[in-house]
Amino acid sequence: MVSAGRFAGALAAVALVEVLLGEALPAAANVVELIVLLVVLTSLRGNSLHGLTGGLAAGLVQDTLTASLFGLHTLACCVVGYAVARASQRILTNQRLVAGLLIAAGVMVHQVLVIGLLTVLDIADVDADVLFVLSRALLTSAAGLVYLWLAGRLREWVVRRRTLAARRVRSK
Amino acid sequence: MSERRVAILFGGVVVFLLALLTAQEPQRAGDLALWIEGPVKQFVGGVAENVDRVRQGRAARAEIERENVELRERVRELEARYAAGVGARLESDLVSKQLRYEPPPDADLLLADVVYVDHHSFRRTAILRLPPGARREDWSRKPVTTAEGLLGRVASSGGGYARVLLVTDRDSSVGAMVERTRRQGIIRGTSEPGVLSLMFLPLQVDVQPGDRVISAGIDGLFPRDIPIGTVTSVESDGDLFHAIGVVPSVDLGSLTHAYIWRRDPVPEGYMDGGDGVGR
Repeated sequence: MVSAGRFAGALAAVALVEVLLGEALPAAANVVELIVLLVVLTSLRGNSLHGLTGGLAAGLVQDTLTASLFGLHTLACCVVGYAVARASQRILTNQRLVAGLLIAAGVMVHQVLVIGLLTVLDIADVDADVLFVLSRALLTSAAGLVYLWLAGRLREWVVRRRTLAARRVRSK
Repeated sequence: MSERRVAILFGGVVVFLLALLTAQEPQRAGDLALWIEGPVKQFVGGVAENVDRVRQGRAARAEIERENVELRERVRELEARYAAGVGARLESDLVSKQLRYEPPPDADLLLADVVYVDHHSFRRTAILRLPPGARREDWSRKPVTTAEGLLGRVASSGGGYARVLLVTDRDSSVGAMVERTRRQGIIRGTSEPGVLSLMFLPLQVDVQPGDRVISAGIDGLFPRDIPIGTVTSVESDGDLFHAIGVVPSVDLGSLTHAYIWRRDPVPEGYMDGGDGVGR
């Protein structure tokens, strides 16, 4: 379970990265859905209420960063967060493959909702490229897996450092 | 918070966000509303139509069941009548055998369409269209009846048609009798359309309004016991006979079909010197 403060910090960091990437490497920012990744990762470790509120907050930030209709990404992120949280209560998400699949599914659901709402509301001419959506899901999923691997390694390193420090204290 | 409450909250958030999105695009919101409303209305309309159809089907079924009960009752009644008729026929055959009575051979009836009727003019006639197989025969002087009773006799035939002199024509005369008393007289047409006159019944004969008049079978043309009409008025005609008004049993205003009896009349030569009955 992720605390609200840590989630807020992570969301702020992701928003900053999104902005910087959008300025420096717009193509990369367009390919990886960092905010959706954050929503899915948060929902994997929390209950459905955390998924819903996390999706709501992340979606509001994404709506603020983008120029589309206000509420569009909020709705999509809410659905993704709630659905992933409900799914994580029914299946084991400790394995990285399952987590990667949930991330990919979350990105695809997010994309389908955004494109579907834009089409139904006729706000913009949306070129629904299936390959682009799939590649976006795969790359975001890959980024998520890298993050999970790095986080795991970091956790192991921290544990190892703490163990060594404790031994030194005992030997003295 | 329970999962159910979270689910309700999630539904509320989704609805709120959808409302927020559509509120920003009112034109598209209307289209979206129509897009959702159309199938819903179609579904509701379909359900209502099916319910109406089922209701109508049930009403029709109730009507059919009621009609079926009536028809079964009618069939039972007709079966009872048929059984009574068969019984009467057997009884009649038995009595005929005891009395050594031989009825005349059964007449062969020919069904013909009525294509013309004139029962108001000076000559009261009807024209029948003969079926194809019967057009070469001579149908003159053959009796013509309907399901209700005597219609008249064929005056002439040819070209696939037969002209019928109606029983109400003033030149028509038929040997008749009062069914109740079996007293015989002659039925003739009168100047008044649709009224017959039963003649030559003496004053001492009991005749009352409502008595049925049937053919007597004494004129050489018409078979016995065919209904002709009902007595409507009885008055004295001079010193000897009743003046009896009779209304025909055949409704001349609703003729569609008639039966011509393929029955040989008594040759005309045999009736010379008679009083004109049957001519």
